[in-house]
Amino acid sequence: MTTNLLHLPEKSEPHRIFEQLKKHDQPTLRLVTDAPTEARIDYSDTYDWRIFRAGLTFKTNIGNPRVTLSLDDKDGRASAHFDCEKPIAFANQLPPGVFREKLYSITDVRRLLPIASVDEQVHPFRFLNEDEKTVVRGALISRETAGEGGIPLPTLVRLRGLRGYRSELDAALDLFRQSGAKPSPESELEDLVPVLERKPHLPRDLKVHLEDDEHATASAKRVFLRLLDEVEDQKQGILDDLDIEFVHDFRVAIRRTRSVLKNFARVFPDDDRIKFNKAFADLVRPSGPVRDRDVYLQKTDTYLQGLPAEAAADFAPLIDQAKRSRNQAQDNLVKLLREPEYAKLVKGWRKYLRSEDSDAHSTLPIRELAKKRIWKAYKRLREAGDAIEDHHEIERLHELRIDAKRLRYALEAFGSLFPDGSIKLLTKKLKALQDNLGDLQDLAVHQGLVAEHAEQLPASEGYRKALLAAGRMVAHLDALAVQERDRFHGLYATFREQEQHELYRRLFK
Amino acid sequence: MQVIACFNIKGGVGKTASAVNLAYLSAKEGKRTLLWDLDSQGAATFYLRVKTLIKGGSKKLVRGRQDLLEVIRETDFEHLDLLPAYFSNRKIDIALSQSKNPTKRIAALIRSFEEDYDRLFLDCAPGLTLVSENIFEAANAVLAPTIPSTLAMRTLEQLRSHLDKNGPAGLMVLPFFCMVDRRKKLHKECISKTEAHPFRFLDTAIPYASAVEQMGLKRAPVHEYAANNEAAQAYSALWAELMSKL
Repeated sequence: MTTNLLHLPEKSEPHRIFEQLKKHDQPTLRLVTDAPTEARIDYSDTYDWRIFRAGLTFKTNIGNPRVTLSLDDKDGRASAHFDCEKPIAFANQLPPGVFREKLYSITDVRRLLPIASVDEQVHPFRFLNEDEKTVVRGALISRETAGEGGIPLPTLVRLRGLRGYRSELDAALDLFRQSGAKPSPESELEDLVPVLERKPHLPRDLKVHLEDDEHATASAKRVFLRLLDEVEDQKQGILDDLDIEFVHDFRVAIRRTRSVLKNFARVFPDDDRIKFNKAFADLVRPSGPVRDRDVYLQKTDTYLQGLPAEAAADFAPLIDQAKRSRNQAQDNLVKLLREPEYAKLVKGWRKYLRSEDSDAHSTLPIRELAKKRIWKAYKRLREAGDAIEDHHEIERLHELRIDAKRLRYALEAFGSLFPDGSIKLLTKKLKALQDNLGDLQDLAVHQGLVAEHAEQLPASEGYRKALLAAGRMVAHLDALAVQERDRFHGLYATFREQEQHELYRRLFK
Repeated sequence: MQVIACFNIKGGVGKTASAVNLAYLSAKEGKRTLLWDLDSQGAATFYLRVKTLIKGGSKKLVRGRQDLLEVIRETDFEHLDLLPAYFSNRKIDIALSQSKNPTKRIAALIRSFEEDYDRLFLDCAPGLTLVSENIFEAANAVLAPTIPSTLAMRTLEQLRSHLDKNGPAGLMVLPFFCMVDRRKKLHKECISKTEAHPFRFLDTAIPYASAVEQMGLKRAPVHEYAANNEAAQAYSALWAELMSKL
């Protein structure tokens, strides 16, 4: 049955509201109040407000001894809830089950960041009919932000008619409206927006809509500006070290920028293009070690499951070393972002993109240029892939991964010029190949990291055992890499299917 | 969806109290539970403080899922809903007899909302009727509360004979003793003789208790107001035993 969420006028005191409502008691609708309870509710969401955008609110009810997690819809009705021992920061900290699947489908690997904490006083009530049957349930909820100097928030009324008692619910709603209640905003969280440090926003849509007959330079500039905004959006998240995905998104935005600069070489004068490309290469370089270590640390639990239990336990000092190494890399990245050179690059690039001096370099229509570049990137990938006979040729696979990324970025940057369904199809098959090549690259990097951390370990109790565990881990990662390489040919064969090839030809040749 | 019918040819044996209390226990486990009051006396409906349907109830029965879903009422107990009693059993029998597959109509309706609930309890009117034929077709198990007396055992034998000839193959019939007064020699003797009975009685017996009679006054399942009472605890044990069999 529908749940309705209402706001009461400011400074509404529950007992006065109840007094007022009781004056309207009838045999068919009589108000009964139950004992109030108190709750501390913590609201969280990913940095890009995925839960909010899904029309839900994630709440942690800090009970004693247990906490209750809930995903509530806009009417405050729990669409899913789960009892656990302590609050969580990631969906995959939960045991497998319906709640974890639902949360993970929204948040993926993103960290749940605190948004607000609210102290609630919940005053439950019911409406009974002449048979003393409950026909409507509800609660008046007085709220204020938690902590010292709590800011009062609008008092909520939550009303739920029991199934089969619609007219009684309508009558109860009327009573509350007569008391001054109004429909509440779309989500409980919206009440909190004025007091939030971080406000909900829609993430930037990286897709730039391009016009067929637009000049290539003008189109490329619009794409670059969007990518630059994306780079800037990640900065604070990196500085605060809120979520490892900020570094990832930062790197992707810069790689895309460099890829478009290279792929569409004629859009700007060569000197300018080379200068900015180098500047971005220097900018992205310190983020590599952070990202490598973040992904490694994320995957170690899975890797350790492939080792015997005692070896997994002996590996602990290496994980500690990995964390120290990661924090050092993070400090280096933060230092770079705080340097004046970073701000200068961003400002300079933005100014360049907006200036008219860089406008006239390529008057070729963007569609023509995009077709040429995408076809060239595709041909290059095909030549490189077809030349790999032995899937143990590690260097060639690494180069192929870079070629695949180049093609993917070109498809994504200029895809709006071509039929959407076709671009999606091409990107899907390419992604499957990229994921495989990416996993291979990760395994190679992670083997290197294990060796590096083993060398860095201070001599201590457990040192020898840690070294042995490191050796076993490297062997295990090598075995995983062999499995991934065995998958390569099948995935590449799917990518180079005749139907795909024909589609590339039709669209881009 | 599990379908559990409470049925006996005789009336006044504790069918409704059993159906209501067991449905309540099912809902307490967090299972979405529906209790369908198929007895025009409407005792289950009364116990749960819901009004019986007066107009058009039997027509809704035959029309289909959507019409039935409209009349379902949520009870005061989480996860427990009720399909209230219709006004006239006679009219239901007439409506069923006029439909296609008259002995399978209720089973077809039940199948249509099996995604909506985990368990369905059927509180059946006494007697062998078209409705009871439908129940036998639809149910996974038929619980038969039985007072330990000679006449009651005779009636149970009639049921067994009827089902042997006309019932669906493999229907699970689970009699159990209800309203047992252990001070009565007859009750004790009757219970002791059941080993030889073709129907295997459940081990749990529900004692006679005024607390259960008070369901009509309290208008609630017995666990709500007398959870520590011997009869309430016996129903809990009965529920556990039933679940071990299903």
